[in-house]
Amino acid sequence: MTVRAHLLHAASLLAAALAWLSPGVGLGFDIEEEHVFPAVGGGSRSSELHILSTTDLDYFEPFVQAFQQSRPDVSIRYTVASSRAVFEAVSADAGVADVVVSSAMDLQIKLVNDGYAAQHDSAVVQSLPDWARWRSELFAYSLEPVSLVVSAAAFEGLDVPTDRQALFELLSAHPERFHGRIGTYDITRSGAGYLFATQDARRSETWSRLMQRFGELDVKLYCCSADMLDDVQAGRLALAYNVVGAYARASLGSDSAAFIAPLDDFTLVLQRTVFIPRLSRRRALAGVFVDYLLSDKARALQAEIAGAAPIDARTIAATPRLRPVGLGPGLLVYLDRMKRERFTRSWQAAVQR
Amino acid sequence: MGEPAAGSLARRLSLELAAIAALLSVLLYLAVRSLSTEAAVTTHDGILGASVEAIAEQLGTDGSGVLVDLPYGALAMLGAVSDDRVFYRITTARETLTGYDDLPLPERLPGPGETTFFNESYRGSPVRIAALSRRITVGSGSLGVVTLVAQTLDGQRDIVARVAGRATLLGAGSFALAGALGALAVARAVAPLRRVASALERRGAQDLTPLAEPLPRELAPLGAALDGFIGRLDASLERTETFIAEAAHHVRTPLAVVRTRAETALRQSGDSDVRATLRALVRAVDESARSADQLLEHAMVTHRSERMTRERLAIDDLLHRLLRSFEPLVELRDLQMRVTVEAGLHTVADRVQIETALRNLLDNALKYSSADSLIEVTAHRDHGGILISVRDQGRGLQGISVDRLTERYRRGSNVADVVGSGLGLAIVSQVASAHAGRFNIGAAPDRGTIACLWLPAAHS
Repeated sequence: MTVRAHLLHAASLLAAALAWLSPGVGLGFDIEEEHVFPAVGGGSRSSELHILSTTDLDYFEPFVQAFQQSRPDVSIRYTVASSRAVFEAVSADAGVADVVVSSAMDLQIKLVNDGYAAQHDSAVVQSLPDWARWRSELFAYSLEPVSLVVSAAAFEGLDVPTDRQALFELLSAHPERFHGRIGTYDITRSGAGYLFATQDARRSETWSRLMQRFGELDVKLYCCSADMLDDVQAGRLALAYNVVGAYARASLGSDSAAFIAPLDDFTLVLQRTVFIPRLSRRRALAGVFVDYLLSDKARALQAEIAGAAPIDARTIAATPRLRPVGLGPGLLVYLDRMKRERFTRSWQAAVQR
Repeated sequence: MGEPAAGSLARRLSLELAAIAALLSVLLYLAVRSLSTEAAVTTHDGILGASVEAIAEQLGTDGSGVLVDLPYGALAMLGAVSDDRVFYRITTARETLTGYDDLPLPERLPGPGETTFFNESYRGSPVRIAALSRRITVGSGSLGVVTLVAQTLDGQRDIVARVAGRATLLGAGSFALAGALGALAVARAVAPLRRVASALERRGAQDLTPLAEPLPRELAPLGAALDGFIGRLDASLERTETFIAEAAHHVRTPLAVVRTRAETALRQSGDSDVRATLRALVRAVDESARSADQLLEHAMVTHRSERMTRERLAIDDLLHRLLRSFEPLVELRDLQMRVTVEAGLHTVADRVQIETALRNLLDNALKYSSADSLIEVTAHRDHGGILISVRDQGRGLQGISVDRLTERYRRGSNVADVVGSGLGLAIVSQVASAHAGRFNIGAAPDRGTIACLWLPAAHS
């Protein structure tokens, strides 16, 4: 090696160290957390895959580690940001990540629709049902029902409602029991909440009357599902409407303080999606990761973490009440500025008297 | 016939038909493709138009400005058709109300209530755009609002590509089918020519009857020309043969007179030199007479080949009658003759010709056999025909190939002491070919010669 090569080598090592020490520097958007998983095989020839995600590190870490078992030469930088921040970062079109993972279906659709995604084709992708992929660019790697979670104590002596009409009637019949004890998303603060509300509105006539009743019963508005679940389990809420992540909570069950009440008229299914940005510098590697995330192996891991088998295409087909929010340009409608203003205004009018 | 310098008629026809088929296939492909493209575009435009109308219908006002309430179905319907990307824009002359504010407008805005469709490039992809104009009453005045809905063309291209694939198959298939049918038609068209050719080929050298094949009208002149030619050939041959027969006859009569005179002179002469000369003279005359006989026979056989009178012949009957006429000669030469004839053998042939051929074979066997030797005549079934063989224990064949023996005037190199014209085997060979039979002659296993004449058997 020449002196010059030594110097270059040292410089690159230094640059790598600096990059590792100062996560998120230069990304130009607000990040919540970031972690680098070094290549488990060590060696200097590792390549880094940058994942930009809305999912907490704790939840995602097992997947990253399992992937690194099969690809010990890959180090992974995992950045967590809000769905809005992820959207802004990708639409700035600066080549910010190699894989984008988000639960905000509508924003993901808009990014893909506006041309920020790269095509990815593989046997795994081909095996997905139509509603779980769009344009060979956006793929659903995880399905999660949006549920009604109720407190066992609050419903003592009452029939647990099995659809929205029954819930509406129950609330009308027992206003004193539920006053101030209903929780749902604040759609002005939560993109997910807004998505669920618009999808509810599209599917159900009862929904607007239900919101009206929520308003009358002084509904509590939340930013996040976790807080709602905590409050139901603690008995501060009688029910939480449109909650995600309930199935992942082992502490929810039929004999515990709170449980999931399935709604038979319909239960929305949120699709967590992944795509490879057009400007990814490691498209092939990103494709391998996406295939892993969609694989049976990852699904088995998901089951292990959740303690229950995750719902998949077969469950959806066998359970009529489960309605996946479809991937397609329809989701763009509710992102429309005027539509959003109008919808939010009427929601606010119903919920906040 | 010379080299087929003018090329193959069938190939030329086939090539021309193939070229026509190819042209039609290409036209079919282009037609299917353009029709399907048109259909795809029309369908696509229909859906884009429905989408833009659904949006424009929801345009309203709050008194001070235009309100847009994008219906979910307007964009979802586009998603139902294909996975194409979708863009929209709702704009007045002054500002974009909502949507993608850089989505291009048409060159000429459509009139109120009208929809126009145009192709553009947007965000690096070709898109189809539907634009609809509407006037909205806002306060005291009215405002022109243009609604645009655009969709990328991947889905449409997929359809067109798929149809193009099918059209290619269709074109290739129709080309293959037309090609095959064309080749079949060509084969059928040239079949009469082939039939004539093979009929001419099959026909024996002496068969100079007119063509019996029915010919299509186009080939009738060729048939007539051929028949005319055959007729002239026939007449010419007949003249030649008549001439030979007459010449032989004219030669034989004076020869008989010369022989009688020479024998008379031989009986009366006492001078041994003169007697030797006279004997040589008699021998020479015999030889000449024999030659003349065979020339006559040959002419007769040739002549009869053209107009044979075929009849059903019993081989055993024929052979025994013939052999009886040879008996005195056999005895005279102290020869033995063994005859083995299978019973029930029949052939359909010209009696005179077959008798002549067999007589020649027996004659040869007798001539070249030494005293006390055996002549074996057999007739038996062989390869669906009848094989008649004559075997002697004579001197055999020498100095000449078997093939050449059956040519006219050819004789072996070891027979100069025996009277012969070299016509005998030529006659046998000719009889064989006139009856679609075969003749060959060769050395017998230990010594002598074996001559075999094979004739087709009569259908029983």
